[in-house]
Amino acid sequence: MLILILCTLLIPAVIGSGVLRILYGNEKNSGFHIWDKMITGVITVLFLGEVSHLCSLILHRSFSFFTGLFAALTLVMAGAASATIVCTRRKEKAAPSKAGGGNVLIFAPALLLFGLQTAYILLGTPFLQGDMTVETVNSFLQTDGIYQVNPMTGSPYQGGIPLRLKILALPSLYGGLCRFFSLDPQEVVWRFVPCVTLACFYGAFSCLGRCLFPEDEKKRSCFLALAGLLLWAGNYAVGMDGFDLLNCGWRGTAVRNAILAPWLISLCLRKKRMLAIMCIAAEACMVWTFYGAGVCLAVTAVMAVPDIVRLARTALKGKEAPK
Amino acid sequence: MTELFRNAWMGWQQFIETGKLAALLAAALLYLGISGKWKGGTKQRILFRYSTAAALCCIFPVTAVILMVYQTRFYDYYWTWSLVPMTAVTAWAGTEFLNDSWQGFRLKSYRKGLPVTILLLGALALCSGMGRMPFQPEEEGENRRQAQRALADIEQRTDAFPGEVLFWAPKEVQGYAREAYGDLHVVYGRNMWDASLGAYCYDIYAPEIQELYLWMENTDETGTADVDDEEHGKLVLRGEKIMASAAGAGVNCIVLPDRLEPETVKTLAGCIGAETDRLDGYWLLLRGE
Repeated sequence: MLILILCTLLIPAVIGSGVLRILYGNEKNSGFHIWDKMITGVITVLFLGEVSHLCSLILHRSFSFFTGLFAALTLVMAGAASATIVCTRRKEKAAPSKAGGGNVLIFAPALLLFGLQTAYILLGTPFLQGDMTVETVNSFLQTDGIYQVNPMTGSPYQGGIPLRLKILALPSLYGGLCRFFSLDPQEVVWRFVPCVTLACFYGAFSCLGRCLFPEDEKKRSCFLALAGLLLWAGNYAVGMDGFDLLNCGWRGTAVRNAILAPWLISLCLRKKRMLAIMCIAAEACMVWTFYGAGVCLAVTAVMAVPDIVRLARTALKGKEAPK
Repeated sequence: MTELFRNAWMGWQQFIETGKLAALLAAALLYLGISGKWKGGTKQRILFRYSTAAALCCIFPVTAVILMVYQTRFYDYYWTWSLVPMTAVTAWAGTEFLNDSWQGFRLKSYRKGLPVTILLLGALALCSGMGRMPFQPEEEGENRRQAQRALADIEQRTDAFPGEVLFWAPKEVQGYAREAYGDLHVVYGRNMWDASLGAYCYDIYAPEIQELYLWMENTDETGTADVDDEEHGKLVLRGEKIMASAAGAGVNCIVLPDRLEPETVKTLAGCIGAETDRLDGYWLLLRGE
């Protein structure tokens, strides 16, 4: 478990950092936060999982093929990202760092809430209604195949499953983690993944806090603490951020609402369109959407309206000017 | 279309019935709007306008129906609220409100800041579900532990378990069995009683298998081996017939509730030539080859 936690911290951070450097050049000048790198890394790992999952499905290969391909792609990506970081760091050596250390103590309330919520996830009873992720992961591991048997019964499918469910990568990804680290699917799906989602939730809100209160650390701390309290307060109904995150944080919808949506809003406010597109694609990889058109696409489209209006106005003025 | 409108309207009513975070969001938007905090900068302006528009779209039935169609109809009404950054906007308004009360988060301003903070926390508690949950975590946890003990017991007593058995048990054991044992075959899964899982595959259960479920749950509830149709006063399912049906389906490992009398269990086991054994809270019936 310790190795899993270390890998979860290191690999996404390295990959995310590399991807941001590739997309935006030297990210220190682009105003990216450590959580931007982490979430970018997590999304990139999800993409690698999706590619491996689709390859295994299309080529009718085993689950071992998926895990092998996924591990290879992740290692290659991590290597490439490390190389990018090293190369760009050499170039930027002269550039002074503006990033301040900040007072960690000021975030103590949010950290306390995070600790309590982690304990709740680790000790609580997961909400399983309408979800069969553990059974699916179990069936992948036992049959060494992807969707070879009905996860509900363990017998071969009679009618099959909908294609748009089949293409979602999360069960394979969780199964891969179980196999790499020899862990029980229940531990990974019900305990580990929701804790990662919770950490990324605070990360995403940290990014959003930096957008709303760029100069005021106290306000950011209060914002994070209130977001944490709202998680507790919302722990009463399915579909509320708090309930989904604390009781079923492994589900695609929970990951989307807790990580992708707040992070996407911060990206749209910062006009980081390429990362916003990554969010749209990530949602399509893990949530049953209308051919990829999910919440993230709608949020991006609506939040781009002011820019589109401004561009249209500029264009109209440009046309009118010669008259 | 009428049904969609009805779902949107009923969905909204249910959404505000269970907890009041939607009311807190409305208060947050109102505060940001009236205080002018939303004009703090371009980013604040965009977020405020977006949140207001998204919340209104989720409330009004016509736009809510459009959103429900957009989200593939697979999801219920409350998922349309995924578009509204409820937590973010409420936390933002709360931060601004507290910042004003504490005059820039200065400890010296505790005379005004502290009561306001307590008031805000109280409002937050009132708007939450006050401990209500859509499921019973304690009860489910206890059921799972009991199922875990029963299955571990079966595993110890039977070499064939889990790989070579077709398993049939009351739903609290049956539901847990496939979570715990990936190589276990069960006669029906959790999708038998959790309708929302039906969307995940095209397989359907044969009427005989559905009868097995009805019989087992009735037995678990009443402690009798025969199911009576209360409306018509007719005997619908007899224990012996059901046992034969289970054996016909290939079931060779049966867990029965211990509410059944030992004689009844012996009769049922005799119908299919199974051996009986006692578990913690259950009967175990094992059929040989």
